[in-house]
Amino acid sequence: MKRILILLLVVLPFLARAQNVSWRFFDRYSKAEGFSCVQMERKMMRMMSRQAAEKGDKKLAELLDGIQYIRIMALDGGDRTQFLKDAEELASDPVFKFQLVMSESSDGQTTRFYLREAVFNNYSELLMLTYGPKETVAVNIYGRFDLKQVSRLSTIRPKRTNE
Amino acid sequence: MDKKLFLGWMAAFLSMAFSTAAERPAGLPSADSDTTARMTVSPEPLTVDTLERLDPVDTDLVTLRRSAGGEEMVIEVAGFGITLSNSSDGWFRSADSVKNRSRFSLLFLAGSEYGFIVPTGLDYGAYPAGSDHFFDLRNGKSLHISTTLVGLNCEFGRMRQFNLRTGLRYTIDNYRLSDNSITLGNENGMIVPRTLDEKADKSKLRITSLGIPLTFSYRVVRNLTVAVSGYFDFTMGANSIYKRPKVKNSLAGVNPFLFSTAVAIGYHRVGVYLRYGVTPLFKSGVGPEVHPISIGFCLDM
Repeated sequence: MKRILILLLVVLPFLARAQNVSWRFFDRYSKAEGFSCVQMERKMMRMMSRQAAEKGDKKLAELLDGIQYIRIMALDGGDRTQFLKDAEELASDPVFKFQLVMSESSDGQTTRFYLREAVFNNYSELLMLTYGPKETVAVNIYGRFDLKQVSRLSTIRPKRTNE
Repeated sequence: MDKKLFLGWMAAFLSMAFSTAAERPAGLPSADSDTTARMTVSPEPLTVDTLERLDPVDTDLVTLRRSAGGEEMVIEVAGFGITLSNSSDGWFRSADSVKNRSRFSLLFLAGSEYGFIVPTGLDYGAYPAGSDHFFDLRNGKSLHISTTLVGLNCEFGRMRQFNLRTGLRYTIDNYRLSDNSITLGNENGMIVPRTLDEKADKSKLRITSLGIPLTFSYRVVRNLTVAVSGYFDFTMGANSIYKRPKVKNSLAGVNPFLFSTAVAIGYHRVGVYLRYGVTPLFKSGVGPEVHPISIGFCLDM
């Protein structure tokens, strides 16, 4: 019995870690030069959830509470080739089971949406990768949510370009 | 709206829809896996100015907005508005096929357990020194077999991830004595060891019972289930048996009502369980105090 408990204690942290597979990719580039990064972690999401709840936005509070993190990584003069290679590797690795659900290319700008289901907790993971002359950005959302809609923004705020 | 973009998205959307139409009427993609995305592509660009900004997040890279209804959130990033809503009915699962199925179902020969019995808390109390240890068991040969002959299963929860089961359960417990030269008998209202004329091939106590189980299970993920059970068993027969040739004698002193609890974890239809007898096996003052533990595997939990 003691051995089983020890084995469980050893294995469980690894299982838990394996739930969000893209952490390694984002961790690496968040520390690298030439990349801009915005990471909204669990604590931030909970804080926003509390704020929404205080305003009486119960549904929004619930949604925000279910999201574990949102991470955005944008190329800002860094190694674009390596970044794209790593992102594609992450998305296509059969171990991680990301599935391409949408891909579009317009004016040299390619955008791909990948989804995966985590093993535990009914969590979902969305990976969006967009690259081209306009910008190169990777977005990662992990948590309990439904992806309802993807729309082009009618008013695009000025974004930094790659070069 | 960029026509090419819209057509591309619509094509992706339609191909996802049709690829799973046969097995998932309402779900979207994935013919080769279980992933289903419920994603719609807006024919019109998102007018972000109509949406209220979530103040803490408005950076160069990303802006978070609350939708007009307040039930959704729009993540504005890289020229896209990604609309997220609450995970209402499990977008990775075929919700409709689940909904169409009745929440109640009948069970036949379900929740079978096959395991070994280990005696715990063994206390011979009033037995004189020298006559104790007679209920020492050969753990590898002491077996527990149990199955729900007929039962009722109720699924509940939004995703039907919770189950409550009950029914009529038949259990056989074989307590194989480690000492083959004795059998169990009754003397002065006590359960005592009786020495056999010659060593038997095997000597055991067999208890059969019929009971009402109550099992609550939770499906953690698609195929992983954890369950907690309570068993209310009524002893039908208790016999001390030795062979060969086979001699069977009824044994008095076994508790007529046995309550035990169990925990189980299962993957697909197979799992492992641990069951603990809360009620002592024998009546107080009649036999040694013992709380049997059974550990083994279970089917169709």
